[in-house]
Amino acid sequence: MLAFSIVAMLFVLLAGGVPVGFALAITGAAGLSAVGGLGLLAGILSTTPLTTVSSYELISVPMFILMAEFVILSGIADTLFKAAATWVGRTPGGLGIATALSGAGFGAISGSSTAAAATLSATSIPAMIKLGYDPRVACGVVAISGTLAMLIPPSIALILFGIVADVSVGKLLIGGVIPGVLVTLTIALTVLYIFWRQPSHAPRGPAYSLAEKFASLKGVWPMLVLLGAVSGVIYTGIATPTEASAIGALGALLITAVLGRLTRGQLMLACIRALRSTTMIFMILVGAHVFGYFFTLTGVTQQLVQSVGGLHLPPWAVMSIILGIILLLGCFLDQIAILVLMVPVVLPIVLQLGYDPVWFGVVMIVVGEVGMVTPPVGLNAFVVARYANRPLAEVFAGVWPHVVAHIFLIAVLLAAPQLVLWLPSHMR
Amino acid sequence: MIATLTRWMNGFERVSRSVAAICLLAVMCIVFTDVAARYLIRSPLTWSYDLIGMYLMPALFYLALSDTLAADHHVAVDLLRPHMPRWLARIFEIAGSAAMAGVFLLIVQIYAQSAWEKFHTDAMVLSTIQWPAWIPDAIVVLGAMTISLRLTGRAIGHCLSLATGRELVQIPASVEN
Repeated sequence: MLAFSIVAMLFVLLAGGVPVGFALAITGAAGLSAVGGLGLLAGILSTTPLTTVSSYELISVPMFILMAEFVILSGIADTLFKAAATWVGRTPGGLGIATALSGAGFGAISGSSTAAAATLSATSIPAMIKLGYDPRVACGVVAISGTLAMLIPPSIALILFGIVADVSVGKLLIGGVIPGVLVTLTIALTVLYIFWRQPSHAPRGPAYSLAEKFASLKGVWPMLVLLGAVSGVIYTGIATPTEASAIGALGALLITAVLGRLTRGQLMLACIRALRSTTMIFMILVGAHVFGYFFTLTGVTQQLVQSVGGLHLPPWAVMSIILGIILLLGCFLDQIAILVLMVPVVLPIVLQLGYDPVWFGVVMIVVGEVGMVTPPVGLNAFVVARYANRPLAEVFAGVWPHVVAHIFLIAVLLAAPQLVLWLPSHMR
Repeated sequence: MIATLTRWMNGFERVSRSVAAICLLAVMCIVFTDVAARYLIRSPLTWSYDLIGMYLMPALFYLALSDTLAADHHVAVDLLRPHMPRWLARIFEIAGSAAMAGVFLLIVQIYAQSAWEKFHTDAMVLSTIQWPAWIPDAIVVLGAMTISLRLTGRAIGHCLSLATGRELVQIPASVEN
């Protein structure tokens, strides 16, 4: 009853607009006081606020965010989109496919999906609309392509999953590579399908000679350097994911400087933006830890695991229910909040069912991608609407074919876990 | 009086976040140097793990905590807020700010006592280098104190706005009506 009241209080505070980290800390503190008095609360607070943020492994969060800020500053995303458009823009719906490819490229050097959506919005939507694309299709493909950054390493969401679930971050990041490629293909195929159904809405871009196509690749080198500096060093074992994050951030800083885009003011601005995003995430982690202690003491997780075990359903059915709940929560809650709230509760169930935690982490992020674009709280849809100055309804209308395609892909990943686990099993 | 206090608060948060930004860049440079030293001269930095984990990470979080709140950068679910009457949104602001200020003040009390005891007894964290143990606690106190003041100011401001009907403190941007 107490656990139910505290969870209800949490949802009231969240619905009232209290920041997620604060709502978790307040309700966790209230719950701990109710369970063991102020003495218990003081005991938890004497360690949690410091130990949560004192972890060396956690530096990958601020470093990858800082890297994303430098990447935005460098203008690499514009170059990626132009290069992709030069190669595939001539095919029907080519700029939509180019958006998916540049989303994957941007995702390979930035772990922030909102940063990716904002950057792609400024670049590709005006280009698509200028060529005669239906604005709904243009906005939809940008919103969903932005989510690729959540999956393709370096992914901040996967790092957070690794930290919360105590799973190898390196394996999670590398496990995201093949699903990342599959999601990119899914987006491209969905675009082709949309334009196959509506050929009149499939304008072709200008044609380029082979020489022009190869010339466009000149601007892609910074992405390749950063890809090597991050995913390359993790996969080969040269550096840990934590170290790779700092190498990537420094690499992005140097590339921005080489491209002549770095001033002292912009460096400070990038740092402040990275700090604010980091602080927001860490505050959620601190709040979730306080709340987690309360949950552990009340034994809610254990009861939940036992009751699911008593359902006598096949593992895939239980997993489908879990993923369905995550999908539904994604429509209302922020992805980081879902991660810190759901993982400690559902991971014991997932392990009991015999699923690999690396596989579950990656699939959970793919499901989370859908939540980023679905109403009413599809953060990427908001970002696209704001940056492209288009109505929100237009973005939501354009994104639903991609949502359907994503659900098919999730079913494929559920049926074939090796698509996620094959690459991590070959890591050095 | 309120304007002067706000100016002081903003100024302090600016300085605090600048120090946090320096810590952020320091983490980046130290980790890179550590990896480079490991491969180039086969001699990694023995102190980097402790310095970053114990001092720099808490500093970059706690010193930017209040500034992040002031910039309304803490993520919130704004599903119902745009449809709420202003008075209800203010009540949530008051409740959230006051309760969170209470939690942070408790943290201040606990960590201030701990920092003072460690400072007084010259407590050290023993590693390859002896690190003063009171510094991380003091960082928590500084950050938690600053955000407590910011939250208390917000709660009072919203109470006064509610009582007088004047817009003394703005409700975060998502609230339209």
